[in-house]
Amino acid sequence: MSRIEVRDVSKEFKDTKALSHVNLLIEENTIYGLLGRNGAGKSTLLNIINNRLFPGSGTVLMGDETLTENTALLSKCFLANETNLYPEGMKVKDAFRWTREFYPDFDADYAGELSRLFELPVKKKIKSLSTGYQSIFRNITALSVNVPFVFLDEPVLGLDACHRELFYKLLIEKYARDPFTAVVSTHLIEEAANIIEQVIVIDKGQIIRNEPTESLLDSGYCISGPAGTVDAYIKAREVIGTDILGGLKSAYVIGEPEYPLPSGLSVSKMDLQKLFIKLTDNLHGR
Amino acid sequence: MKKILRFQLKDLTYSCLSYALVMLLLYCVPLVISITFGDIDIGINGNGVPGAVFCLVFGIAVYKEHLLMAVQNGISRKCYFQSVLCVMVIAGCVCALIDLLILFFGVRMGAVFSGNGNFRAIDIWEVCYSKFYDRAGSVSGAAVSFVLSALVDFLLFASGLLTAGAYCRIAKKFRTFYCVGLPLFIFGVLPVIGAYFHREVFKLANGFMNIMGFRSNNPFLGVLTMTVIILVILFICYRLLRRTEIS
Repeated sequence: MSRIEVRDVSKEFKDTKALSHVNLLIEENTIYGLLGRNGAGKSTLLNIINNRLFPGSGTVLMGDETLTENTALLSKCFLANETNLYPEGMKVKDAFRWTREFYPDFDADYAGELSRLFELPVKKKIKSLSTGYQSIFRNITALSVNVPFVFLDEPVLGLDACHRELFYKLLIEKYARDPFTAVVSTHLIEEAANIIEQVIVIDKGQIIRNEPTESLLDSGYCISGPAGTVDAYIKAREVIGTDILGGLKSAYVIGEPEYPLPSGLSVSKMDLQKLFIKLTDNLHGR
Repeated sequence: MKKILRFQLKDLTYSCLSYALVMLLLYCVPLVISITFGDIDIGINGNGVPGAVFCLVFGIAVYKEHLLMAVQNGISRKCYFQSVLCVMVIAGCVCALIDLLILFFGVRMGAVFSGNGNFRAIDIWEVCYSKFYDRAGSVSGAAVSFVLSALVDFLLFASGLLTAGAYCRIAKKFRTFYCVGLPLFIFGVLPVIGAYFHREVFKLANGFMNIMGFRSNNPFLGVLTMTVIILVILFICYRLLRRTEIS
């Protein structure tokens, strides 16, 4: 069984520390959500795993072998990100044809079918496509490439709501049919929350959370009610953040709620986006 | 390596075909003139130079585009470099062969059709190593011309790779300066420096003629010198490529 191990990877760009001693395991057949604020280090991490950038220190392994500069192992990975690395004048259909040359398991029929579904003009040059259709082209290639590890960096960039929903549906269908590992880096957390099995939260170049979505959401709860009652309730409890709206207050509390609750308070499940915001807000001192 | 080589060869095929057609046309014009007007003497010198320029341009043009395609499709830089070396050898040999064939058939056809010997196509190597070619037979002379032309093509291809490789490694804010500055330096500053320090340049030129075997009429010295220069350039290219980051 192969898995990708990021071992103590750091990366600096001039005076910016993009990644700092990152350790991460990417297991087979799992959908990961890589969440982080702008400049947190998500793209740098994906670029290092996929041999586009070199780590300043540390290593990336697949099984026991180094992944960096290893063509045999890199052929098991595919990164779709917003940087267009295809030749300037290449048409979509030619890109599909050449991808099949590089990745023999590339399903050209499936790519054609998805192109029709998304109404992607395959005879057009890639660079002449709109931002949304460039994302669609990359997503179709990633879904058709049939490799064990697919990395999607901002896959829904520029996509309208219909296309975003269609993409998530197709990703889940594909995953159910032929399981593979997908690492999805996105800012649209709420939309992707339903498909993510494992959440990796990265902030200031460090992994601050890496656990299954369910356990992460079950690690806390949201308590809401009149501000005074909520304040009394959260005393001596670990609170990761609060929201105040008029006289009402919501607090995000770590642990399990204790029943019976004081009157006027209600408990709801923490949602991933709120949890992410609170986690990263705390680190940014907000 | 085969996958990226196949991709690179696709571009090389189109380019070589275009180059061969252009060269054929360029040779046909003076040939037709020499056949039509028997009293006009026509000569073509500098055979081999267009092939070398083609290799330089091809080396510069494909480096970045093909590297990006390789990285997008999980090919390591090492494999890409191996593929580039194959392309360099193939491109150089094809260009040298095209030059040799055009020269051979150009002279033959000129002799057959015009009949009055007013068409001359001179191989540049025959000028550089005149005494060697006087002694050598036509087949061995052609073989040496082929090897020398191919080596010059490799050299220019490698120089193209070096130019593009350096471009990919330098910081983005310096790239415009590099693109403007490099040709300006080679074709503007260097000749001015050469005119100012003409004695030193003369000494350098003398040294160059010696190590290329022009003075001793020894083309094998030229082969050795060019091989060493090519290897040094390729070594630098690999060092540049090995740490090139794509983002």
